[in-house]
Amino acid sequence: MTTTKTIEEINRELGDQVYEDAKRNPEKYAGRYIGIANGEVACSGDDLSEVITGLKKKEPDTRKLFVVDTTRDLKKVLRISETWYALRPLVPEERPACDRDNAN
Amino acid sequence: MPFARWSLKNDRPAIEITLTDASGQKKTRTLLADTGAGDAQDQFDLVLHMLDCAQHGGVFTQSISVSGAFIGNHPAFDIYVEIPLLGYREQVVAVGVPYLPPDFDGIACFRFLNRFTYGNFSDKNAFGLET
Repeated sequence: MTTTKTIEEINRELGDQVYEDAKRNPEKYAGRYIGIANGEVACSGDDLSEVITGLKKKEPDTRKLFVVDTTRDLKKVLRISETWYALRPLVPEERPACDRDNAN
Repeated sequence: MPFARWSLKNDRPAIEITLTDASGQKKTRTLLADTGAGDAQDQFDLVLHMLDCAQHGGVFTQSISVSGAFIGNHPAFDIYVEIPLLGYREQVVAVGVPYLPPDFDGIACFRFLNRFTYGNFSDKNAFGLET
């Protein structure tokens, strides 16, 4: 069976490759951030806003974009204490604004 | 110096940020101001609903593993955030999660709050930020 990858999956896989490559060969990449658009490396730089602006010029649909932060420690597990978050099914008035926006 | 202060929400510290959707419409989101969420060296600033990230220009970046309240591997986004009262406009990193604490649209974590001077500024019913 053939499965077709979405552009998001292709970008993510390329992002993983770029990250590993940037760790091994930092001199190959000019900057901390590497921008990917439509499955191809499109731009890079040290300023995240500039990289994203450059990406959006190439592809306005942000779902088709991906940014690799080459300095990120992907093995680090981030902790947010659950001690006082009552994470449970929410009644309608407690729901986040995006849920209410989409319901309208 | 620019200063912004918000009333506590359900007795919890809250801040308001503005996100911009694809049509240019600005949406205000109320976030729990949680200095205990993450640390100064963490790799993200905010926890937002993943729909908010996707619908407000968030660009995918490497996903982030989270333990505790939001256990699992979550998508992360570089997203443009404003706090108009402070004249603050920055690209920050948000973790997109499918569920949130009641009454809030997300969490402002320590790395984000630590960009400002923060506190109650002598008003025990409020939380404020100053640049």
